[in-house]
Amino acid sequence: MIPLLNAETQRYLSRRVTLFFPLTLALLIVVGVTIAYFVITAQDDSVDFVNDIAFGPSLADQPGASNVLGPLGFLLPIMAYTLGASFYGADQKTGVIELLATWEPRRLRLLAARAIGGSVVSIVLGMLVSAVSVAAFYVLSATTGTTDGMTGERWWWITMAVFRTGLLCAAFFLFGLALTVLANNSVASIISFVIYAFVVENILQIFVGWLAPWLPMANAGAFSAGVDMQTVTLDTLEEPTSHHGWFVAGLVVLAYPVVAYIAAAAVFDRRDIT
Amino acid sequence: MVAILEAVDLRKTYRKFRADDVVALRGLNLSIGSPGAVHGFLGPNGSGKTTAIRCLLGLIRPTGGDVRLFGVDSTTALHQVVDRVGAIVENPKMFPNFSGRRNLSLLAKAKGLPSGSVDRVLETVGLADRSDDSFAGYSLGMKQRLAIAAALLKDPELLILDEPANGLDPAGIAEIRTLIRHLSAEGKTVLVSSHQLSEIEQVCTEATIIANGAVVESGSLDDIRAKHGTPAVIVTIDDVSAAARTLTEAGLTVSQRGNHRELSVEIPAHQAAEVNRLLADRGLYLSGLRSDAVTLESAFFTLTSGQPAVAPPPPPPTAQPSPAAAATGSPPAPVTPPPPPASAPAPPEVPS
Repeated sequence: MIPLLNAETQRYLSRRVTLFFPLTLALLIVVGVTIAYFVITAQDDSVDFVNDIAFGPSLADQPGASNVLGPLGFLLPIMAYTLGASFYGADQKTGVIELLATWEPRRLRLLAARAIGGSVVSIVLGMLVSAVSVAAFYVLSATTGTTDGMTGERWWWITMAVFRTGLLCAAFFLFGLALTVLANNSVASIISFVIYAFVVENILQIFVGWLAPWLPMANAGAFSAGVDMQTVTLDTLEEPTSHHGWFVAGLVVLAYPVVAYIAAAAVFDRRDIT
Repeated sequence: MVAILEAVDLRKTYRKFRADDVVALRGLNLSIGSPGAVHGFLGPNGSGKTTAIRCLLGLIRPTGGDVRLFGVDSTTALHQVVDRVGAIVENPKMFPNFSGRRNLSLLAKAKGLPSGSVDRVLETVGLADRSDDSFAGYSLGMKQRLAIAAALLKDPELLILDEPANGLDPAGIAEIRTLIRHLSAEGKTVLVSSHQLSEIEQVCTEATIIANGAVVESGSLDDIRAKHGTPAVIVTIDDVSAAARTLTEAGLTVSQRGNHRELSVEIPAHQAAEVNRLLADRGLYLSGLRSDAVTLESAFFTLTSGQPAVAPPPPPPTAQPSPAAAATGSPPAPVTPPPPPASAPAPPEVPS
C-alpha cells in the first residue's frame, strides 16, 4: 500500500493543474494586494480600513473577525473540488485508471491511495495559498499602516485558520474525487458543483430554512473563518441567527465527502472498466 | 499441472439501459498450459476478444464462468498473481502530459520496482532516446512501444497483448515479432490478440479463434490449418482450360487462380509430381509448379465466415467464377472444364 500511496501522491503532484490552480490563486492575491498598496498610499484615509481587515489593533479582541482568509474559504474549496474531480476524471478519460487497475486489481486500495495522497497534498496546497494571503496582507499592513494588533495569541489564531483552510481543501478534494467517480464524468461533476456553490446553495439557504444550517459551502465558510454557523432565512433576513460553532461546521463539511466517498468506493469496486 | 491461463464457460452480458442487452461472451473456453507458448487469440471485430481479455485482467466482471491465472480465480484473488502478468488492453493508455519515462516510473513506484527497471524496458522497446518527451507528442507506434514497455516492467511470466502491432510501421511490426520470440525463448508465455493473421502465423505456436463470443477452433497452428484448409499446388501453364480438363478427368479438384495462367489443384505438395505427369502425358507442359500452403487466414475465414479485406484480381476470360464471388473475394470457383473427347483415355488413379 505504501508504494502505491507514494506513487499516487507523486502522480497527483506531477499533474500541471495541481500546481497551476494554487499558483494562479496565490499570484492573484499578490497582484491584488500590490494594487491595493498603490490605492491605499494614494488615499490617506484608508489606512485604518487596512488595519482593521488585517493586522491592526482593533482586531485583537475579535479573534474570529479577520477577513484575511475570508474569500479563500470559498475559493479554495472550489479549487480543491476541481482538482479532485480532474484527478479521477482525466485519468478515467485517458485510460490511466484502466492501466492502474491492471497493476493493482484491488480497486479499493487504488481509490484509497488516490484519496489519501491527494488529500494530503491538498492540505499542504491550501495552507500554502492561505499563508501567501496572510503574508501579502501582513506586508500591506506593515507598509501602509501598522501590525500592532499581531499579538502571539493573534498569530496562533491565524495559524489555526490557515490549517483549517488546508483541511477544508482536503475535504473538498475528496468530495470532488468521490462525486466524479460516481458520475464517471469530471466535466459534469465540476459544472454541477460550481452551479451548486454559486446558485443553488444560496437559494436553499433562504428558502429552505431547516436545511440552511447543514449546507456544505456555508459550513465551510464558518469553519475556515472560525466563526459560528449563522443562518439567514426570509423570516430573519435582517438578523442572522447562530446555529452551531465552527467545529461542528467542520464536521458537517466532512460528512459530505465521507458519505460520497463510501458510495463511490462501492461503485468503483464493482464497475466494469471499459 | 496448473494452467497458466484458463477461462472456462466464460460469459459476459452487457446490460443496457433503454437498449437490448449485448451478449459479448457465450461460454468461451481458453487455456494456455505450457510456459513459453505464444498463443494467438483471433476473431473478427466485435467477436469478444477484448472483453475476454478484460475479464482475464479483472477489469470487467464476467456474468458467468471461471477465469483463472496461474490457478488463481482472477475475479476474486487476482492481486495474488498480478505481478506475474503484464498486459496491454486495446490502445496505449498513459497520462498524456507526462513523459514516457515519468509514466513508467510512476508505475514502477506503485509496485516498488527499482528505477533501473524503467531504463531496461525503455531500452528493450527502443524508446530510450525519446523517453523524456511527453507521451502526447509520441506517434502511435511510439505509444504502442511504451505500452509494451509498461507491460514488460514487472518482468512478467505471462504477457497479454491486445493488438500489440497496432499503429506500428513494418519495421516496428518486425521488432515486435522479434521481441515476442525473444520473450518466448526466455520462457515467458504470451497471449497475443491481433487482426494481422500473418503476424500471428509467424510468431504463434498455437491459437484460439473465436466468433460471436465463443471459441470456434483452438489448437496448434498446424492442426488448425490441416483441419480447415485443403493442401494444394499451383500450376502455371499456358493452356489453362486443357489442363483443368485433364486434371478434373483424373478426379482432382481444380480451381482457377487470379492469374489467368494459374490453376489451383487440391493435392498434397508431396504428390505434385503426379500433376506434372498427368499433364505431360497430354502434351501439356508446365511453366511452374509450387505449393499453395494453407494459411491461417484461409482457415480463419472458413471458421468465422468472414471475407478477406482485399478482393482478388478480376477473373480471366477462360475461367468463369461468379461475378458476386469475384467482387466479394470469395474463394475461387471451380473451373468447369469442357466435356472430354470420346477417345480420351481413362483417367489414372491419383492418390487422394
